[in-house]
Amino acid sequence: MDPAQKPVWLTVAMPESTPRPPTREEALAARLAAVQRKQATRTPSSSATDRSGTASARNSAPRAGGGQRRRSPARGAKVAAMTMSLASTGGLAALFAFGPTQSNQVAGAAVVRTGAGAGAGAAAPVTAPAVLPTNAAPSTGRCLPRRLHLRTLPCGHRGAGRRDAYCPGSGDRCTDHRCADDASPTTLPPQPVVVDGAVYQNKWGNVQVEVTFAGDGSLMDVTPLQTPNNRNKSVQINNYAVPRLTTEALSVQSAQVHTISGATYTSNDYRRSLQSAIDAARAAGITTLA
Amino acid sequence: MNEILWYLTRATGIVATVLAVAALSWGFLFSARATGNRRRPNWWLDLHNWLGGSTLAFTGAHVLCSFLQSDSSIGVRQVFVPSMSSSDDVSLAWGVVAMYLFAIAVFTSWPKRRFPRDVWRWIHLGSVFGTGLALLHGYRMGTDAGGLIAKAALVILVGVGMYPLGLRLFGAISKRSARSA
Repeated sequence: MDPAQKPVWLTVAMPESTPRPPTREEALAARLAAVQRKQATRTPSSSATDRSGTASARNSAPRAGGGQRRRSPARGAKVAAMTMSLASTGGLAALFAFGPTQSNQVAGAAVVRTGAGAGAGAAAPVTAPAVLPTNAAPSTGRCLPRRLHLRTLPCGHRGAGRRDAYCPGSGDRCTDHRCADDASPTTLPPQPVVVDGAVYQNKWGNVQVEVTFAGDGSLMDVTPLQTPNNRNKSVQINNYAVPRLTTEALSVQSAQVHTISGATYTSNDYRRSLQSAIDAARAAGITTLA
Repeated sequence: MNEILWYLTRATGIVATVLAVAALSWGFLFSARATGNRRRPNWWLDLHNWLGGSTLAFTGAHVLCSFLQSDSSIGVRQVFVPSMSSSDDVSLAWGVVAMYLFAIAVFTSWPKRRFPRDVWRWIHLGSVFGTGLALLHGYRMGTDAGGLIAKAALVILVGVGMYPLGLRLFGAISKRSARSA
């Protein structure tokens, strides 16, 4: 006889030694009954608000099993997740603050050259003491013509220009066909001065800028001498960031440039190197920029 | 002060990205019904919601810290409008878009039942795209992104996120093909 076709009285009279697993129909019926019990025990007001999805209504609704539904079933895990997140944030911030990622100054700033060639940037940098641009004529002992190959007439000669002549046998300069003392500064416009900023080393490489100050002390040009370049990404970042930093520095005439997002180390060290150059120039009397 | 804010910006950004991947994984495991029997489904859903909310909170903290840095080029417009920063490339815009996608996913979860199910699902799936954008944003702009640890962490995060995504995707495909057969 098929057990599924057994009459009910036979099943009751002769129980099996091991509990029979519920059939699919029985399981569905039990589940349906549980849902009906759940709906029956739910109050009309809570039912209405539950449909609107408010958390309080859902949390206060009784469970089908009889107990109250928990307010947040994953409360422990949530607390653990938040604790881990906050601890990670604090730990990472501390790691960044105290870790070996700070930039260090590895070389100081210096005035490298003065004069007309400074702005061109073609001359080889020659380390020199920090000096003011004197704008004095070369000390040749006599008033040299400015176009020596064309005008070599002595001062006072009719064919000589007002300034393009020399004073033979003396150090005087030729002004209005007259020789004057050559030791005093000329009235030539002030020449640009180039100052190399300090070298800063960060985790990606060195950063150093070369600053050209115009004769009036303003920032004329900022050229990066060193930027991190040992990775393709660094090159890509710096190709993008450094021109923007330079544009802003020249615009604000200061080292207070904004950090370029994604190039924070380079921005910080660019700022520091530029500031060191400005400080050195100010100490030498080249500029009044702060 | 700026340096502290910089450290906090980096830290909150990293934590927000990890939380986003965790919320994504929890959500896909839950919707793929691959959460096992140890925990009830509402436990998984509750934790998924919490992780998503925490992602948005840490994203907000990340944005706030970067905004408060006085030497950063990030202002109100740069925070809320993509590609408004003159000093950044498109990767900052990805971060802004990711922030919006996270916000939309979180704030539409509360009135979930007011949306048609399919509409809500597509809106919610936008956060997957947002997580991808957040990872790209971190990879392109993160100060620490070039380091070995950061690269390893990125690979692990992508791997952790892809497993439940694949589980859900292939589960849905096989279910659909079985239904049509």
